[in-house]
Amino acid sequence: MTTKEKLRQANDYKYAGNISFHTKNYTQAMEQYSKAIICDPTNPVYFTNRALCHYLCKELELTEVDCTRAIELLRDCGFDADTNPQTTSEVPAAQKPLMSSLLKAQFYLGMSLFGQERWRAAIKHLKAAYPLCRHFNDPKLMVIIDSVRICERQLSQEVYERETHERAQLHTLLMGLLNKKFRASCELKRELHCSEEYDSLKAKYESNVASLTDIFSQVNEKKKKEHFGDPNALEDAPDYLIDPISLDIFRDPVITRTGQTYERAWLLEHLATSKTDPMTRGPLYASDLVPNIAIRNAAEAFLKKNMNPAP
Amino acid sequence: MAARRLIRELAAFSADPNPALALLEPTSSSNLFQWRAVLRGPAAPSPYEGGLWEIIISIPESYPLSPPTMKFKTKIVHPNIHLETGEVCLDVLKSQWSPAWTISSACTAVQAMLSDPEPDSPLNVDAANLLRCGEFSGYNALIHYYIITYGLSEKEAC
Repeated sequence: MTTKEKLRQANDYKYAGNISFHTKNYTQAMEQYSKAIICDPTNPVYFTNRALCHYLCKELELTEVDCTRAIELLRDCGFDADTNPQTTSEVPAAQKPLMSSLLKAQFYLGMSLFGQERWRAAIKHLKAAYPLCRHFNDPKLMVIIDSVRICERQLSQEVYERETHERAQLHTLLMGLLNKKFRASCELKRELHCSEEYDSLKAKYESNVASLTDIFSQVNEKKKKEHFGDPNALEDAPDYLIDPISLDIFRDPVITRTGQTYERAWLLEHLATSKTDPMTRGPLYASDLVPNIAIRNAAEAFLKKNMNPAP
Repeated sequence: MAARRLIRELAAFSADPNPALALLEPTSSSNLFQWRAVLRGPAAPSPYEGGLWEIIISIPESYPLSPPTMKFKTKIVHPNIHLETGEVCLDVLKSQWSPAWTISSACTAVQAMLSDPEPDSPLNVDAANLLRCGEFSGYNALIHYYIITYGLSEKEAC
């Protein structure tokens, strides 16, 4: 078979795979994409398509393998994780499928890592998928925002648990030392026949133990706040940092022609059903939206100061 | 998103209550998607002054991109409220909904609707007819009768 025939054959397998995919027969679709990959192992689209099948069948490790391969192939075509779609808004039509493929590869890689509880790596790839989703006005924006938030929280939790464990060990050690010292003094007093001082020694020992426990519980409380943020902070957030649709702090705010600011993901979701500005009811299109960088920076600063900072 | 937003709305309502409402809360602690409100009648000259009605609010998963559904549990006479089912015909709860509304602000809209009926699209034809024929004393008396007979007392409202 010539190379050209092989490529055509691979494309035919992909179409067969797509048909199976749309009838939700993922195992069959996977087989077709695998055949396409054998004919043409350089096309990232076949890998991302198969990755999606793996993902939907909850085969997270295999999703990861296929997405990683797709990202490598895309990098060879000049598309890497740093491709910034804002500067490539005029991408040639021929490159759109590759960009869309990069979006899927980054997103499903991120989600498969998320499912495997590999939070740090998941954040990296989900964040790489975000600007691509924005470019395509893809509704996965919402999933990314929520998942990244969960990852950050989990990471913070892991650090908190490790540190709490270390502190508990230190606490036990210090308690042991106090106890040892107390026993030794008792022994000494007994030898010197002044056992009546035992009560005062015991009182001193008990007050030391109580202070130590108190200090540790204060530190734990403080660390807890540092890691999980103050639950009341969000209520104290100024209104101008709150998205009027989700009532949540802004992450990626956009501004409309009339000057209203919304969270991009939720506004796009609203625009999918009604092409109106939620506040003014005037006509509004996704193409009219511009990022509101000042508010984004203010919201980021607020989150960093009051909530769990991203590690 | 819906659950998170509802928790925020609840917190915002307790921090800054809406004078149109005597009560606003989820019907049970296990289900955040059904709330109950007790609406106050608008002040005179509205014939609904002094009335208190319980409203059951059902919130879809897609809230706030889709509107909540409101039904009067307490019987009320109004051209745009069904006497038996309590169904409400109000544009902001249907085609004119916007995600910038909240449950509380939608209740304010229902209160405003009490004073400002739309007799041309009635759910209660009898009430609408009284209004269209200019039978105001009859209309007001009927409303008043239903408030006295079925309306909640302040004690029941809390």
